[in-house]
Amino acid sequence: MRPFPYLAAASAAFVVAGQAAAQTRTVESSPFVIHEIAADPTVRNAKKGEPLLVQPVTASRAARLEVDAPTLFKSKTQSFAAGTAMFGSYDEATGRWLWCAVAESKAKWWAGDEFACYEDLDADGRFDTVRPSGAPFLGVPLFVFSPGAAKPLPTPVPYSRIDFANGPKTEYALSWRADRPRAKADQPAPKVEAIAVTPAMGPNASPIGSAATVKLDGQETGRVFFRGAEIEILGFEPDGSVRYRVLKGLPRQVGRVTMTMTTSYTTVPIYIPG
Amino acid sequence: MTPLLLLLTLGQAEPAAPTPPAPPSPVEAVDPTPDRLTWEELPASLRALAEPMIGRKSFQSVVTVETPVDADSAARTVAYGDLLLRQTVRPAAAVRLKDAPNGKPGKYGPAGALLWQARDGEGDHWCWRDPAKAQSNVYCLRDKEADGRFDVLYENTLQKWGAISRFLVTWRGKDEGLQAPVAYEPATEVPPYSETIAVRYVGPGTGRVTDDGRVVDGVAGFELVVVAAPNTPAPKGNALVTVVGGPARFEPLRRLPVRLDAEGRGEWKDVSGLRFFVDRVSVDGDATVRLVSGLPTGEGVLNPPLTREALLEDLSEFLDASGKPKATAAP
Repeated sequence: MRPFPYLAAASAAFVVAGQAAAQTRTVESSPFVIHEIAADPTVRNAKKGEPLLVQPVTASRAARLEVDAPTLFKSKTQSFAAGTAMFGSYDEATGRWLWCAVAESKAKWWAGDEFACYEDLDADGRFDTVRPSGAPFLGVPLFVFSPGAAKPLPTPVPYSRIDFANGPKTEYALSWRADRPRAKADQPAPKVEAIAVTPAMGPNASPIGSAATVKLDGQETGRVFFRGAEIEILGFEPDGSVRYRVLKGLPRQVGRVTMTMTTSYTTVPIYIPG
Repeated sequence: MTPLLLLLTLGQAEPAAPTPPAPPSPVEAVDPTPDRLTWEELPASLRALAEPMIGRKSFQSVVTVETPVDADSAARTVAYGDLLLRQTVRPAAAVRLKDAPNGKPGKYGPAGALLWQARDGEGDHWCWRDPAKAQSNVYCLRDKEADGRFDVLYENTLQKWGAISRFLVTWRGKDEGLQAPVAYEPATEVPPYSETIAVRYVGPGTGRVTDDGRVVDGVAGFELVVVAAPNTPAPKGNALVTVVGGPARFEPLRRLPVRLDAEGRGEWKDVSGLRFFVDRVSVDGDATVRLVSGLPTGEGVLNPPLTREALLEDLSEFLDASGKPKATAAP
């Protein structure tokens, strides 16, 4: 919302203190699927910042280009080759599915890649338009929050649906944090009392949910159950890393996140003498 | 407008104030095998917080449901975004102003204006908005002393921004300050508002995915929505909901999360009379459903009071038997 001018009689011009306001937009992400990996109960060690568990995640729908397709917007990638895999993202504004392939963006003011998202307007198996995806929410490649305007393709581009497991992938990870009391001077470091586990997604391991805290016993051991995964905590090293093993990985499952963006703005009325 | 802050919430949206209160309706569960909690299993502190919410009548318009729906004779497939049913609702009753509140007919309604009925735990309210404006605040008045004169006036500014419905309000708003009581009289007609409400399928929420792509032990997302039809021009002064151009738009009234069992089946049934079965939800979005009943025709509200069972259903997706988030340590 831009500042707007008033016209008022007499007096000198003056600016009234602005009024702040905010608008919140909430969009449900399209469903994503966390895929299973082979069980591996070997004892592992995760340093601070390293996840306990990483599994691949895809969107719940996928497609493949049958011919080359142009992007038609400012992007390092001018076209996608036939055979490129794309993920499905439901657009609430249009009631249609977008099919998105990742492109590198020329824009410098956000991190992450921008995608080209194609639409089949008449459901005839050929894309008719292409839209920029907008910045992926939290930098997670599968989260299209606010796609841009559509441009018609010079010619329709045929595509085909494929198994969603073969669509573009990113990572679903379980981050962790050790909770221990503050150390006192001249005292040995206190034991870790709990471990907080947070789900994360994407190349930057962006948190996508609240941390769940698990209390450990006096030996700094315990078990974490999270969305069907079972992780045994075996202890902590002097460098702060955690020793553990994955007894059960995450079973194949669907998930979603609620994406909320709050935009703050200030309106400043300016009085100008008439 | 500069984006200043990105927020992520799990399950519940964090609305910017002011926002009408809504019961918690998470989409993403912490654990895909939700067992239903009992009231006694909730921590005492949580019970104390939850108790006032039980049976609370939230502020909302009182409607007449005009169109019945037939039960499905067999299960059918609905795609992501499809509607299970549509029904037409109108204001249930109205009164007429005998004078303009605060002497401002353009802002609060002129003498003779029809006000539609809304209700909350305090009783009836009567609401008005400027029919000549596509976007406008809603003003609701209440006769606390039941003496034929309104003595309190509320302003709802939320309805102005992006809301589809013209008369389905869910927030009373703030006290606007009524300078003097305003007389009113019963009306035999209601404002000419008519809305289409629908049950919409919005895809799988959480759950395990079987080898054949079925979602089990999870939640499927459905919503009760207001539908705005596309390509309907708005004659000047017409008070009906209109959208010029574009696809149909949907404004959620409340969420209907359907719990899926180990076979991927579930049922929605609530005190409003709405009831349907879910036979299967595919991870790629389609669902197989069977409608048993829609909203009964006649007078009612679209958001029934929260029941203990519905609250436990919501909380069970996040909390274990000790009232803690479901990622816990084994003994």
